[in-house]
Amino acid sequence: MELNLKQYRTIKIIIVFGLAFFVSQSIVFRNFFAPVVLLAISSLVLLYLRKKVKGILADERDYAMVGKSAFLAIQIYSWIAVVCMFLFYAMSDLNPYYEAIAMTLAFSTCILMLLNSVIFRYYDKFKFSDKRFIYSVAVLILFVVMAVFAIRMFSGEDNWICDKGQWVKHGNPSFSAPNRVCK
Amino acid sequence: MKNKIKEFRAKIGITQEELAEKAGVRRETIVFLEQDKYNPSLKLAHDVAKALKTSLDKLFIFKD
Repeated sequence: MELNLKQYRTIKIIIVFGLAFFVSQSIVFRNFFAPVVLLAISSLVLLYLRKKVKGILADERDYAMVGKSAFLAIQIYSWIAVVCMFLFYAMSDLNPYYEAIAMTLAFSTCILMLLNSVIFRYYDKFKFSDKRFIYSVAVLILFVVMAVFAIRMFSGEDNWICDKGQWVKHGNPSFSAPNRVCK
Repeated sequence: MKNKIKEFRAKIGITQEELAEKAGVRRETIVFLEQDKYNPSLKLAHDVAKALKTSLDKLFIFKD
């Protein structure tokens, strides 16, 4: 089976739309495991289809544009995130949730810039077209994030537990009780 | 940097699509090259010159 560029792009758009719909529905129904699995499956399907495409998907001009747009996107996001972070921190007395938003913005900016620096240094020193390193870093980061998330979520320490229709403090959570209904 | 890609392409009678395939790029890149809106890498310049059966110095005009 061979695909042309147009067919590949059409399939890609359909998958993206389907994924967006499924993720939004999963959030509504509070199922966060299914979208992660679906995202992984979609990525693998697209990777497989990409190999079946006859013709060139991207060339050096695309890569140059991707580089420039990524650089600009990182800069714009970092500025917006840092300004918003200070605003949310300043307003955290009004609502304790703002502190969590500020921290998320701060850490996401730090990780983004750190990742950008590491990849830039690598390309600066080693072979420009070697993608194995990028995949390794991506897998490593995904693993670390998932491990931290799993430890935080399933350790049961410093969290809010739903007990007989009420949120009960377990340990010393750094955030206030969830505002969803405890059944 | 200017180039004579369009001229050479017409001379040997191939389409942008065919040239793109021979040079290993997308057709849009050839369009941008012909319009002097994109400066190619040395490798792409070499590949385009090879596909058009000419040399780099004949195909590309460098201006100080």
